[in-house]
Parts: sequence; C-alpha cells; structure tokens
Amino acid sequence: MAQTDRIEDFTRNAQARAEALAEGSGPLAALRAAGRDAFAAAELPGRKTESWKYSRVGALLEEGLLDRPDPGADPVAVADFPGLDADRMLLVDGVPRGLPKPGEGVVLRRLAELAELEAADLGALAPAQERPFVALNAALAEDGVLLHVGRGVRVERPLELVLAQGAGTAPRGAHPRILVVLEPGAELALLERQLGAGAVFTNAVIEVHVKEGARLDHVRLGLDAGDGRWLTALDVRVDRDGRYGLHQALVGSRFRRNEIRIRMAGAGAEATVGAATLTRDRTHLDTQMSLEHEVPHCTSDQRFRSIAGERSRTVLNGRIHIHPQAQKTAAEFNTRNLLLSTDAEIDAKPELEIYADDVKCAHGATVGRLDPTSLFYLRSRGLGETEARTMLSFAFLGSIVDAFPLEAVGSAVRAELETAFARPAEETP
Amino acid sequence: MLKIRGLHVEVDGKEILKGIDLDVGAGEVHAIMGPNGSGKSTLGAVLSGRDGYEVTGGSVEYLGQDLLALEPEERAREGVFLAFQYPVEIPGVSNMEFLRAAVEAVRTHRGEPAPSAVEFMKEAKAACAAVKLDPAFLKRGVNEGFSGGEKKRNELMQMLLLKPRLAVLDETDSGLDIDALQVVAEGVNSLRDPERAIVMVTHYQRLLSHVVPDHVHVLAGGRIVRSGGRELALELEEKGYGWLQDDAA
Repeated sequence: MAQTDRIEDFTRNAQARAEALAEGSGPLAALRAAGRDAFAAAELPGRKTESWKYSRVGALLEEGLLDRPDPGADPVAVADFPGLDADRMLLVDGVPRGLPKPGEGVVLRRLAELAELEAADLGALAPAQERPFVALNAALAEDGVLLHVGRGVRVERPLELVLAQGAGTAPRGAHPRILVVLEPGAELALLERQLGAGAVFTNAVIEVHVKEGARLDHVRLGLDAGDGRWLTALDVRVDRDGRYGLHQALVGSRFRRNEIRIRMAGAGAEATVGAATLTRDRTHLDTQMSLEHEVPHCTSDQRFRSIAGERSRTVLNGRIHIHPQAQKTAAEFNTRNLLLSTDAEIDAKPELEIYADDVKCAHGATVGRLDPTSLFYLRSRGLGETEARTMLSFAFLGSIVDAFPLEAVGSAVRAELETAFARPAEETP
Repeated sequence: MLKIRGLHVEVDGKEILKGIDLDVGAGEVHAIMGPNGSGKSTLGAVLSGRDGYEVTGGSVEYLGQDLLALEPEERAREGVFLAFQYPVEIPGVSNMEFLRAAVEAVRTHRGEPAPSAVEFMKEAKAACAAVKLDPAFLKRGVNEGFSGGEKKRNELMQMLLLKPRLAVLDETDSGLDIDALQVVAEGVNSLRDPERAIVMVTHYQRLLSHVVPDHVHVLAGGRIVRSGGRELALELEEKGYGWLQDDAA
C-alpha cells in the first residue's frame, strides 16, 4: 500500500473511533471534542514535514495500531528499583490501574472522574492544533491521571508513573493522558517509565505545570528495545522562580520519539535537561526538543549524550526560541554524540531562534569518536583496547546518569545501560 | 632492566630525539633533566607507547624484550608505568572502577589473583592515605575536577597500587607547592626497591633534593649531553642549562 493510502486509511479509522467516543460530558469529553476537531483539521506528517524528516511515520500506521486495548489485560512485568521507596501509579495500555493513596496535599484522580475545577490546565498546556498525534491522543482519551500537589507541599516519597504495555501480543493503540500540576512552592520527584517491547503504539501526552517557586524533578526511563512504538508529547510550563529538571535515559526501539516542549513562562524559572541515549541494531530514537524562553531572567541548561551502534538511528533536534521580551536569558544546549558503526546514523541539530539582544546563549554539537588521549591513558594502565573503549563509551552516558536526582534509580539505570551496551549485536538478516 | 640504544624519534616529521643511549639498572633511580623542548617528555611518551611518536632508529630493550614492539597495555602489564605530566580527565569513569580494572589486568598478567572488592578497597584506601588524597576521590570521575596537585597525587596513587618495575615520572613535580612536593617525594621514595627502577623526568632540581638520584642525565637538543651523579643536578641548579646547550649545538 502506498504511504498516502496508508495515511488516508489511518485517518479515516481514527476519526471513526473518535466519533464513537463523542458521547459524554465533563472535562474529558470536552478534551475529546477539541481533539476530534484538531485531528480533523491537521494532516499527518508526510515526507516533507521538516520535524519528521528523519522519523518515518509508517511504523505508526501499521494494521491494528488503532485497535483498542483489552481493558483488563495484565501489564508486562514491572520491576522494582532496589533501594527506591516510591508510590506507584500504574497505567496499562493507557488505562489507570491501582492509583496509590497519596500523602497529605497530593491528589491523584482518574481523568474520567475529573471535576471541572481541577481541569483548567487539561489540554491547555499541550494544545492540539497542528499536532495530529496530540490531537489523536485527546480525541481517543478515555481516561488518564491527574496528579496535583498542593501549595507548599513537599512530597517526600517519589512518585512512579509507569506507562506499561499490557502483556498481550495483539497489536493495539494506547493513548495515555497525564496532567501534573504543582501548586506554588510544591516539590516532587516523578519517575516516569515506558515499559514493554511489544508491537503496541503508545501515544502519550503528558502535561506539566510547575507553578511559582515549585520544583519538579522528572526522571524518564525508556529502556526496552524491541517492537514498541512510543510517541510521547511532554509539554511543560514553568512559572516564576519554578524549577524543572528532566533526566532521561532512553534506548531505541522499533520507534521511539519524544516531543518535548518546555515553556519558561515566569521570570527566574530554571530548566535543566540531561539525556543519555543508546540505540543499537535497527532501532530508532528521535528527540524533538523545544525550549521557549518567553520572559526575562530565565535559565536553561541542556545536555544530551547519545551513542548509536550497528544500523540504528538517533535524531535530536534541539530548538531554543528566545522571544523578544526575554532579555537576560541564559540558555545552553550541548550535545555530544558517538557513532560506534559506520552504518549507524546520528542527526543532531541545535536550532537557535533569538529575538532578544541581551542574552547568553551557547550551543554545541559534536559527533565523533573516542578521545585518543583518554584511550591511551586507560591502556597505559593495563586495560585492553576493547575494555578501554567500552569504558570510555559508557562513561559518555554515565556522566549523565550519575547526575540523576534519584540515586537508586541512577545506579540501576547505569547497570541496565551497561548491559544494553555490552550485549552482542543482533544478527542482521 | 632498560637499555636504550641510538633512539631516534620523530613527531610530525620533525626529529625530536636524535640518538639517545641510556642504561637503567634494577634498583636505580635516574633523573633526566633538561630545558623545555629538549625532548624529555618525548622520551617518556615513547617508552609508554603513545601514538604519534615515530621511532626512526635505534632500539629499546626492557627486561630482555623489544619494548617498542609491545602495545601500551602490554607494556603496562609487563610493569612499565608512566606518570603523566598532564593526566587526562575522564568524567563518567569512576576512579575506582578504572583502578580496579587496571589492577586486575596487571595482576592477572603476572599470574597473581585479582583482589576481592573488599581487599581492593583496602589497598586503594591505603594508597590514598600514602599520598594524602581524600578517599572520596576514588568515587569521582578519573581526575575530574581535580586540582593540578591532586592529579599528580592521583598518578602516584595509581603507581603505588600497580607496583611497576619501571616507573617513569614525567614532570611529576611541576606545579606542586612545597607540601605536595614532599608528599610526592615520600611516595616515590617508598617505591625505591632493589627490583625496581625509577626514571624521573624533570626541569628543576628541587624534587631531587627529596628523591636523591643515583644518576643524572642532561637532555638537550634531542641528545644526552652530559651524565653524572647527583652533583650534576646541583651544578645545573647553579649554572642553568645555557652552558650545556652550547655543547649540544
């Protein structure tokens, strides 16, 4: 089937499914209605869509990837992190299961049961216009989770947000919807995990509002290679003096794409982003990062470290947009990339749009091989060349992972990445 | 232990060493002195097997083997250790992880058992104490954010752990304050052993008042222009290198 036919089929099928969910009232139904309209108005990305230049949408259009999941399916295995004491929110194929009883000042609610008052940010932080998959998520959202942390509440126990596939093997689509709101002065550590390696299309939208002086540490893990098609839109708004940290460790899968948009919407806001990514075999990993400096006196610091081996592909687009009024902005974007094979590909592109004149903005992108001086240093102490290369390649990712705010997670992830790095390549047909 | 004959070395097509002859016996401490640009660091680099140094003539025999035929890691496992003038920072590899791998590689090669995690920890802490380095440095990235003096002490700490047979110290004294110099000197002295040879490459005499060498050689213009006992170092201290460079030219 030609790509255009496939897109047409997919669109028709999605619209029919959205129509079938048109009943109902309340904030979630309103979100769906807005999603339906936006989806109808948007076009799925084609070969000429710039932001999809390196990610072929075909992997998301395959037969069955719009089918509804079995609402009672067991999740794939969810391992605990040794040494991490956390409350777990589990979503299986997008459907919330067993929300924990949070401590005082923290509200967890299913979106299906959401009251009008709580829903102010829903769909507002991640607008669906001209974003067909965000629109699709909204149009097909049957449920989701609101996480609300009250004014001044410092949540001691980290919260785990597990987006797990169900254990079944039938192809299907899941559209998890998450809204996280931190009221002024609130503090929280959130651990998001994308789990599962089956042929499931998970099309998640996560909206985050960090209000005045609040602080969110967001650790995001996607460490399952395999057949999963993971598309996630993360839209964050940081208000005055708020702090948002995103710490990612990701491996490639059949299709993994994270669209991240962080809006610096109040003076004194800070954002830090650290990402360690590894792609092997024929996997694909695409990060579309957009940092919007809308107001003066904000700081952002982004570091990406990527390794690509075999025939894999890593894409990173890092856009920093400094609006005309955003004077005294300090923005840094740095990406270092390592190719382990001549067949692997890394497309890393910083993209700066600066409309204010009094700003400090630094960016850098390197794609390269290992530093020969470091390699020699290790060998001069007796390490074999292969061992030294492995150690250095891994160090490249390790420096990001070591800075994770949840130490127990950092060391577990380090071990997991080490294993993923050291395992032999899959046989290529 | 080490026999260098007629060693010629080029870097980027330029001849740096122009025929070096040097014999270092077990138990001896040699100092190689000389002005900047005389080729001192090149000698250390060639002995440790660094890329980019082309040997165009001569030979280096170490414990009866052709040293130049060995890969850098083989030299290290055979007991050659170079303390770097500028130790490299490697963020993301912890000092501990690195040292453990190095100790394991070297000891396995010697047919000794690799130490257990607990034994290794004990040894590493003792080595840190010997060079007055806070054991917290073990957890940090290799040389990451270390001061100049800390890097040098870290080199020495590695040397204490790896127990080389031939230790080459490349300007290990440069950039050290007097206390750090003392610490480094004590570390080097503790390694003096009838089975071990030490070659100190240095610009200044001051380390040599703490670690007294058996032999002093002056390298100038890519050649050893003078050899003698420790009194030669004192003479250099007094007169500078000028009078010898005239000889070399």
